[in-house]
Amino acid sequence: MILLLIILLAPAAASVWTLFGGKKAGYVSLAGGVISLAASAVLFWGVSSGYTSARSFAGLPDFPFVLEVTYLNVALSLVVAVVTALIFLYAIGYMSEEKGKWRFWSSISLFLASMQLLLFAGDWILFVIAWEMLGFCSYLLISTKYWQPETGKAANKAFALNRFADLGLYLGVFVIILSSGSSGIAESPAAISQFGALCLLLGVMGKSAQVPFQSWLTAAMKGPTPVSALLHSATMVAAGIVLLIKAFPLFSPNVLFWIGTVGGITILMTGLTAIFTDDIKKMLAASSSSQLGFMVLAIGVGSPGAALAHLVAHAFMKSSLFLGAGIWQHGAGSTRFKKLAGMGKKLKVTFIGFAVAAVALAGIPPFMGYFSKDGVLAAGLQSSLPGWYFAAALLGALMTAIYMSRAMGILWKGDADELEKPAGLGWMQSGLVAMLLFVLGGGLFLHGMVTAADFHLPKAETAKIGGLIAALAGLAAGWLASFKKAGHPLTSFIRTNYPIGGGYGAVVVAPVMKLAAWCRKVDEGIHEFVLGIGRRVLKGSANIDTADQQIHKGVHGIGRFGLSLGDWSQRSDEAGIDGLIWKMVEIIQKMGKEARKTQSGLVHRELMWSVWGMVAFLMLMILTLI
Amino acid sequence: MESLNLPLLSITTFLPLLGALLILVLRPKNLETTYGIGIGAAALAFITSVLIWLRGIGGDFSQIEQFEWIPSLGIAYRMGVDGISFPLVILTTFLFLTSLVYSAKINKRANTYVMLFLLLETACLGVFMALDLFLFYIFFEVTLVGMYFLIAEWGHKNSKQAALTFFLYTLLGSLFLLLAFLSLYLFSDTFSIPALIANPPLSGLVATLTFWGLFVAFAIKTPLVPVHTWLPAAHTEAPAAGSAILAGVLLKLGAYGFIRFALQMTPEAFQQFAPYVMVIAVITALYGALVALAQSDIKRMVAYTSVNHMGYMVFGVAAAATVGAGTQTPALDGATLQMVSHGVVTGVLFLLVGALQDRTQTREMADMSGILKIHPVLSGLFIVAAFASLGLPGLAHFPAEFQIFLGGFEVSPVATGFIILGLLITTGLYLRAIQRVFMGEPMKEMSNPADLGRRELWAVVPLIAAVILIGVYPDLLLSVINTTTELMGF
Repeated sequence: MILLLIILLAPAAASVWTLFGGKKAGYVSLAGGVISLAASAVLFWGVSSGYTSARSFAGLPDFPFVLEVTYLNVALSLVVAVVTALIFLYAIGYMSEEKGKWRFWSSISLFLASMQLLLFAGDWILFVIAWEMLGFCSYLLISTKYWQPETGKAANKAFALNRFADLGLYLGVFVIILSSGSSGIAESPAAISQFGALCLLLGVMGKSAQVPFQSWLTAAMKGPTPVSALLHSATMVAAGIVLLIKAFPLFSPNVLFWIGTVGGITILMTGLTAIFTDDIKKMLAASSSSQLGFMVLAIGVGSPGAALAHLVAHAFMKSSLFLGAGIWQHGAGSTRFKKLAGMGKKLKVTFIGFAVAAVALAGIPPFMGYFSKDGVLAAGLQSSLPGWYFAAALLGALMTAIYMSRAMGILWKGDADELEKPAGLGWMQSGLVAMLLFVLGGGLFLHGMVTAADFHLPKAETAKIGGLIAALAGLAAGWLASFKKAGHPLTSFIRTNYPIGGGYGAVVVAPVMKLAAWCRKVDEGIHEFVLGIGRRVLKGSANIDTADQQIHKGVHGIGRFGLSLGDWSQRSDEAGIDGLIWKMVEIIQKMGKEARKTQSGLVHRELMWSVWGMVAFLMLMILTLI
Repeated sequence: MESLNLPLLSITTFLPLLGALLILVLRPKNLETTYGIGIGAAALAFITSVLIWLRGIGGDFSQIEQFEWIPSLGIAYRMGVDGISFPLVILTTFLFLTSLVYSAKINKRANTYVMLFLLLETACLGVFMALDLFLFYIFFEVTLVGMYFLIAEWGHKNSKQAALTFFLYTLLGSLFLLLAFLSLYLFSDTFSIPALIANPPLSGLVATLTFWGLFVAFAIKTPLVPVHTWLPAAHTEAPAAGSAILAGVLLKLGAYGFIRFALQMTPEAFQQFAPYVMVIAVITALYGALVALAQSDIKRMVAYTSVNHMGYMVFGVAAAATVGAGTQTPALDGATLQMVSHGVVTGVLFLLVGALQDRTQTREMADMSGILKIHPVLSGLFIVAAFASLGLPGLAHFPAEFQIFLGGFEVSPVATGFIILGLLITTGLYLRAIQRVFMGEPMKEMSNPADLGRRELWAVVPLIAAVILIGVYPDLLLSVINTTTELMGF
């Protein structure tokens, strides 16, 4: 348990240190990440020999917070720790020239702590907490360059879409807790209602950037590239898959069908987006959605093992790709393919690294992606609906190969200008190369890991051969096909994430803002109405005032009390309520002498006045000054 | 601690009043002495309220202090605390202390200002600790008078109008409250709150009428739509510290009343009409959030989010009323915690908006930009507070709202499905505000180029610390709250 606390607290401490202006921000964060990694590794060694534990903490009444050490949790934690540590290493170089460092390092360390918390959460409430903390850190990180207007917009979009989907998670968790009476993940009920399960799915779709929520991931590319590498490929978006794996036993076959369908649609739609996009980071973002679609599909066909394998493999592969893209971004000052053409030849180490990761993602042996993609394909084949699931996955594999190979083609072909060696290149390349070691060798451990986590990684000959053919065909097609700048309206529709009806801005934001403006108008109406009553009351008192001039003279003797009161009220407010009280006093005084002369048509008003005046005056004077 | 038999409750309540009297007698000439006395009295009150905590808060009313007052009517001076009222007591002493620290630059008739503040603190503490209807009512009315002058005298340019609206509404509320209290007294012959809770005296039509009387009175105070329009007006015009107190403490008078009176003294009527209350709460939460979204004035925006949060709070109470005593629900725990969370979060938001206004001389969000670059500390703290307000886990509102929605979901999934959309709208409005005000290129004309000063930090940082503490370790307060709600049967 101490190790677990070190895993969580080391990055949190680094975050706090940097937040309060501590020196050497990047190195402290790296140290926090490495300490966390070391603790995670030791703990992994422990759980490999069968150690598990769970500990409760004070949470909400009847619902304690629980931290749980299981093989699955620790294995995922180790993967996250390794990827993060390497990305931190890379980011020291990447951020050396950038502004906003303390904000970046503080947030990214907090992010690491949140992700680890999510993995070890043993109860649903803590899970929700970590889940939303991820969203918050992501918001902070995307808006690292907050002075650029479009950065703020991108961060808002990411957080708002995520929050919408998070409401699904809330409702799903409510259903779980209410049907079992406990918030523990281990004590989850045997099954939950379809409504609850679909709510959970909504949460996953948001976090894992599944159709129709994929666009926030594209927008999130405005953040620094290490952020994209960490959050938007290997960790945060993976939280959705973690949720599906943990909640897998709760899903009925009916719900699994929906999950698989969401995954399949996402694979295809975002795969197409990735093929047509004109920006390397946006291509990688779309590809992330698509690859996460593979994992969601694997869950849908009933194979959390394949999802887990692809989650781990994708974490390493996609981070490598982003790290490569970031180096070019620094070299060329842009992520547009147009600017990057031919850059591969200038930075050969980086290109080779990128290429290895790309080929791995396409599913070529002996790299990591081959094993995991094979698992997903086999799972699709063995499912109840191979015609849909296997076909979608196979098409997806083909698309993956096409867009990766197309990117490599653009980077290699064409002539680039001489480029300056970006600052911090050493840090960046060492991060990339270390990551590649895992892409190269990790495949061998994948099967063992899935089995040890009590899952099964499916295998099938047909899937293997089909996958290979698709990958090779895709690689060839992507390399050969030179996509001219796609000017067709349909391609730009695909590239910009299918903005049906004008996109999320026009469909959701505008009507809500309209409704809000209408509510505001209504509200001002109510306010005016009330003020109107107040004014009429005041005006009435003014009328009475003129009518009373003569009487006033007559009651001057009693006026002494009134005068002192008037003095007091005059200071504060002539026209306000004190004036009102003052007038009420007059009326009450007048009431005594009233009988003899009733002039003007004010009797009604005066009567009303005396009643209200009496009530108000009595309450004020007697009850407050008692 | 047990051996010390000091009447800590009365001491806490009247310490601020003592400070006010001291200022009245001494008439200090310089600001330092005035605020020294004020802050000293508020700090002592905070310390004694912590001592009350250390003595231990039971499930039932504890640490009771009482003596006869008007025996012929059964009116007595009775004070006591339980798990519902104590969190509000500590909130009150804490928020008054920090607000006074924040105010320490106001020199417009400082003596009167501090005296009013201290008088208001005594009145608020009295409301939360009074165990006698009559005593409660007196304290309740004093808060109105105090707040009225604070808004009218030290407010911004439309303060007279705002104060008038505030007074009209609350006067109406007081009238209903008085009638309801009279009905409670006439049917039970006692003013004792514990006795009225132990044996709710009313049934049938009288209970219904009394419940709605209480409802209207507290709905105005809380406030609920459509009787909420005094709130944004008063908030926008009051000085920053006044808004913090108004939102942080005075709204809780109504919220507390819902639990203490409506729920505990007319439980059957509340149960019967809970569906209506729930609908009103849903409308309040969503409507408040939507109107806040449409604001261009940042202070008004924050003010309207209070309407939203109080909607959640009443939703929680109504959910608890629906299940009725005897069935466990997290909703009431959540609603009680929500009062404290809202107090610290909105309190600190108003103080920060005040600090922002001091620097930019405007509250229009369109006229500000890039503050994050000029004032990173102010901006950072505001962002934390804003995310707390939109219910981010790890910060104060989350544990409260999670429990409210969980309890509400058990009672009515549909209503909860609607009200939870409020979270989304508040997310949108805070994101928009942060983007407009704090991000982008820095604005040019800034009259006060310095970031938060020492005085402001001493006021704001403890509040932010409380926001984080409640978020990370809600059990601190929930354990106190839960013993009482369990005893109440929720």
